[in-house]
Amino acid sequence: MKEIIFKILRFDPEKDKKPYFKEYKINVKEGDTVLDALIYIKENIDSTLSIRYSCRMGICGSCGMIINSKPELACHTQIFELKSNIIEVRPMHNLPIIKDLVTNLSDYIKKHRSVKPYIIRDDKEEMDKPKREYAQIPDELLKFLQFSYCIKCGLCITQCPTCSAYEGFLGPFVLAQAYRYSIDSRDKGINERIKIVESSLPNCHFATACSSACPKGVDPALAIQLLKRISMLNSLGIFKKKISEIAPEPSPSPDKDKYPKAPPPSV
Amino acid sequence: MRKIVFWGMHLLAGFLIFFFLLWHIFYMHYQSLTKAIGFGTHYPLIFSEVVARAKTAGFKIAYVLFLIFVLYHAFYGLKNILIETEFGKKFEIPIKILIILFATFLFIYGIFTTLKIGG
Repeated sequence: MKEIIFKILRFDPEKDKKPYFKEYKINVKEGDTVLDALIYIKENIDSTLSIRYSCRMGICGSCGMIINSKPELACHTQIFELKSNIIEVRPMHNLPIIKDLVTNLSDYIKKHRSVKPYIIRDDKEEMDKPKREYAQIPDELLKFLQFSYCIKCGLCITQCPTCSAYEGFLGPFVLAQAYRYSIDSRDKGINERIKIVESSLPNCHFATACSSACPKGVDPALAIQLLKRISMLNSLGIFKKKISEIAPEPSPSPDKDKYPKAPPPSV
Repeated sequence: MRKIVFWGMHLLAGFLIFFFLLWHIFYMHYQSLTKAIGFGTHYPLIFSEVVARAKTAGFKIAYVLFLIFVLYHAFYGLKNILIETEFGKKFEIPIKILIILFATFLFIYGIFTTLKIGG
């Protein structure tokens, strides 16, 4: 066990004029994460502390915050790995504070929705009542796979210099998702998306801070540069992408009769 | 034309400025060197040769193109920087108009000067 001082930036917009630091001393053991410590503080020392969390395993992206000046997921940051007896915790930058460590991401969620982050096809009947999947080879999958690991935690926004200065900028994860769906071989919505994102693209100055902040290893800066390229080629009418069609119906196995039949459903 | 194409032209102009600048340095200031290796057309220290060079159509076309690339690259970049600021957010359209007017004025002045040099 080791005693650690947590300096947490507190701010309640209804009561406080400006944010202030409050200190908490707690004993932690090896393996404890910053989120464990924050939950301990909330449950045992100060119940007025506001934090947002859900999965506690780095999947939901709810507990993004600034820990010792670095953007991190609190559930993913072990206290002993920080190698410091004083841990400073702040809410994410570039986002309005709802209370204490809880920031408001709704503006970026709206921006994310605006870029249509889903497969767009013109065969609506197939989309509503799909017969089979769209065929996609592994090379086509690899073009967007890493960008599909994004959990929308907002840590890339926190580090982005353009997001801090220009409200009109869509933001790294939003543009990365626009690229992820535009390059997907099953998608036909590239023209619709480019109309939405093209005014934001020149505002990315390729600082790459978003990529270094990402806890899931996604590279939004790369996605934005690739999106610039495909947007420009598409605008000039020279962008070509192979569009996936519905996979052919599988031929029945000749040995099908030899396999035992599945048991009847139990539910 | 799509906005992203203007941005692409901004990159292309930056790339071309680099080559035009190299051409300018060798053509204007290293003629003795280029002449020594068989590519030069005149000696830069002889006034009559400099004036004769300035009268050539190739020289004028090259400088008009150079001017276009420099002005486009500079003012498109300036516009992007300005509209990201607090001030720029409020006055985005007036800023764009002022930048276009100023760039046009410099372009006309540059064309006038380039064409007038050497008569």
